[in-house]
Amino acid sequence: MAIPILYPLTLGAFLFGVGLYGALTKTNAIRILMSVELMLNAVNINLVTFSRYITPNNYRGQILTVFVMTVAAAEAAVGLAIILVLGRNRNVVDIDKITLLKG
Amino acid sequence: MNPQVLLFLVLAAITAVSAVRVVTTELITHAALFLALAFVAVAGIFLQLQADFLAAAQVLIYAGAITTMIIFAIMLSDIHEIKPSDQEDPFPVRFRRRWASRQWGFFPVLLALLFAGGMFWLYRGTGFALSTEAVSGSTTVQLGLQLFNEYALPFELASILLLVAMIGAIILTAKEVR
Amino acid sequence: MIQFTWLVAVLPIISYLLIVALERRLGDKTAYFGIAALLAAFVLSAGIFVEVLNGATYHKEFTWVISGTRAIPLGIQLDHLSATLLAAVTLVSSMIHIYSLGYMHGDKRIPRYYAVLSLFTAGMLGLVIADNYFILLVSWEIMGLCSYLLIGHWYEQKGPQEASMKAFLTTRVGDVALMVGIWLFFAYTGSLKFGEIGEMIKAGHVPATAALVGSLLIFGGAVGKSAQFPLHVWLPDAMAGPTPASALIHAATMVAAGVYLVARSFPIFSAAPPQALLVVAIIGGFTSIFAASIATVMTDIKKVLAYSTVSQLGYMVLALGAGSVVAGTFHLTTHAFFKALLFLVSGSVIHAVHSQEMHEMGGLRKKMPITFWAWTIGTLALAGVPPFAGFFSKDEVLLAAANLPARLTEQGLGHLAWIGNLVFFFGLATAFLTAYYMTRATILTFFGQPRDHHKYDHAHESPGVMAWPLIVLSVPAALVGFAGTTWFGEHGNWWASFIGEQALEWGAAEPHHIGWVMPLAIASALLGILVGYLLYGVAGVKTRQNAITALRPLYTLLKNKYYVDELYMGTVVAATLAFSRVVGWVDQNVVDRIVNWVGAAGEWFADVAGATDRYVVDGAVNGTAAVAMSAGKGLRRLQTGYVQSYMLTMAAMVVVGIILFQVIGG
Repeated sequence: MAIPILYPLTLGAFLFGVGLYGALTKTNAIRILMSVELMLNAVNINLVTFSRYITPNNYRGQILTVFVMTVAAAEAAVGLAIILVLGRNRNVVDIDKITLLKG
Repeated sequence: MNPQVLLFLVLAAITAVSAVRVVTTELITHAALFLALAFVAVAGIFLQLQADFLAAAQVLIYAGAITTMIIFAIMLSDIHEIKPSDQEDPFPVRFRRRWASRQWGFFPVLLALLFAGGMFWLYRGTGFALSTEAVSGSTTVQLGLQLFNEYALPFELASILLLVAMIGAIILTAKEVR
Repeated sequence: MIQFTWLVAVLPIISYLLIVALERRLGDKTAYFGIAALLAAFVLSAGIFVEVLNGATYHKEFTWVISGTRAIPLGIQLDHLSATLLAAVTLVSSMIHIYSLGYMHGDKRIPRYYAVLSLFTAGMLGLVIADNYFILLVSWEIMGLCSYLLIGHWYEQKGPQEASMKAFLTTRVGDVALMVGIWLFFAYTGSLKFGEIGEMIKAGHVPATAALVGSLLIFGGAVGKSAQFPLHVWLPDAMAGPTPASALIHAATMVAAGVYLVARSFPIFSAAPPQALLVVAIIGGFTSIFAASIATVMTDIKKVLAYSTVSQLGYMVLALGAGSVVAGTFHLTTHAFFKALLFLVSGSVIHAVHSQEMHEMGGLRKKMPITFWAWTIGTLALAGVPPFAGFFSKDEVLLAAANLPARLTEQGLGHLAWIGNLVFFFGLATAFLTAYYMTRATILTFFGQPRDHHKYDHAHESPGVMAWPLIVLSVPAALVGFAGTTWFGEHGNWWASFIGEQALEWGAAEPHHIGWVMPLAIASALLGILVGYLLYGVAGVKTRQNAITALRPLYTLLKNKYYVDELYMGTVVAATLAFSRVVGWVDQNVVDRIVNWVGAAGEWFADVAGATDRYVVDGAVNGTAAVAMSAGKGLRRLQTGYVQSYMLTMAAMVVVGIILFQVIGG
């Protein structure tokens, strides 16, 4: 491969960092969900990279990526449904105001 | 420079910049569009890594389905985020609003930087057992064979998960249950 | 049939799912799913037991995780011990399922009750057939959760609510110890299997200290689950749950799990330094006499049985600690039958008189003949009167304890042989106390004149669904003990040869026969019955009052259960509350001041540095302040409810992990 393995891995690390930052600082629940999707994409990049560079003819890494995508879709569906219900019932999407977890 | 590397760098730059815009732009609709752009760029990177099936899936699932869903959610929940008022805000205020959290100040930025830097540091120090084999042809057939033989059970479980998620989402959002 | 072993554990899970799924449509009728599943499981495990009797064994493995080059196989296994317990547990549990039909009649949450009951049984069955600590731990936790749900079945009332919380938290202390112990051994041996770990210890892969600490940690799990001193406090309180659930939790399953864990881990205990088993024996012996003495003054019929259970579990632990797997598991099996029977009988009594206080009962013998006879069989078995089940197993336990001094000398712990004698004395005294308090309970409940006429007139024999399980359980409670006689089997007694060969492989030392133990055991049991009869059957209330007055300090001490609860309240709970108060004070007075100081210093610095690099410095200072602030508030923020604060903590830990890995491990 012409591209050194470090390049896509660095992109993955950076993307994950951005997603992490977004998930930690944003108060809008939809924005947090987007950040989480970014993090999942970062993981996918890493998985595909390792699959390509280390076991080019065994697709375990790619299969795991397929599952990550499935879970991401499920997570987005349920997450957005929860956000919609919250928006409808309590008129907030600001997670600072949702503290039902407080013991 | 090798054109392949150049192409990768361009795609990576698009991904990185749009990812940053996703978390910094003021309007949430813009954020959703930048998210779609990032997803498409990642699909390009998948193509470069010779994962053709995943590239297609990436476009369909992430750039297609998930982005659409997010935009729908934005529309339906009628969110009024901070209006673009860059002209009025002085730079420090804008800077802080974008990069600092209400509760922890700049700590999350620091943490994210530490994380990315730490991972980079880890990768650089690791000697990966790289394989020189070439990928033989299209991955779709191989992927399908492996998925439906070796990973049939996880595959079925994933389909159940999707079903559960679907039912859950419908029950959650349905106006009148039972 | 033996290849369907897994099905035994899966059947209750199926019934659990069916009940949960069809609860809306079928309502209380879902109870029949539980009963059907358990009866099927019983028939299946009875068939399996017969096959095992004919020499079959079963072991099936699958690979759980492949990590690098290391594969971790998990599996289920069926040997003599697990086959026996499988049959015993399914029999008792199916009887309890049927019995509950009558007892819980008219309850508003019957489907929930049956669902949890089934899942609970599934947990126990899974634990019995596991061949490794992973499946064992999963089943263990299922039972922990279900016991919480069952004890708190009537969660509208304060008592059950608090009792369920207490049970969950107290056993959790032991669970943590167990988990740490398992991972300790996994770190040294890379195996999760019971036998393999023992062999690796013997081969010298684990340092002696680590083996000692690890086996004591695993025993810690048993201490929590089997309610041994000092974690016994949850079991008596757990009587707040429905009585059939008590019968299941506190007789046949959950508390038995701890003893079973020690028996299964015996290869580890025997390979570890001998001090490990000595600690087990001391805890068991002490718990048995400790709880038995409390049981003598309890007036709540269920509390008597609860402390009796704690005491009998102490017996089993004592036997295992004395190195006899045969005695420990034998008592485990017989106890499962007769204690479940006793609990169900007490449920039947409570159902009839709507009270748990024995002072409000009396004379019930004539009104409830079936209940009375079932109780009598259970009592005689528990008190250790020949030829009922408890007699033979208790005899084995005492024999093992009597052999302990010699065993300790053999292991080079001769200077500690006196502990062996002490523990044997504890066991003997417990036999006396057990017979005494059971006689007392019997006379107070069933004999004499009715003390509360209104309740007496109201009393009636329980309906058939409740009476039949009593009759069915009476049979093994009376007869199972004969498995431990020399009449069956070629050498020694049948049980000893059935379990014994396996136990020998595990490194158990089977006790030598000592002639004077059995007469002594019978004598102490009969003496206990005699004293009980004299005090409660012959002597009047006045004499008893005088006796109580004479022994006032002792009576008060026992009545207050040795003040263990108060001790915990005063130490552990108070310390936790005080700690949180201190943290809050530090946060307000120290940390905030530091933060203010940092902020002030930053402002001053920014002023000096001038306007050009204001943004940079401002940012850095804010960053520092934010770091200090979040560190300071971290302690208070532990339970903020903000999802993001949990996320932040996790991410920070990951970063710390990366840095540590690179600096130290890389």
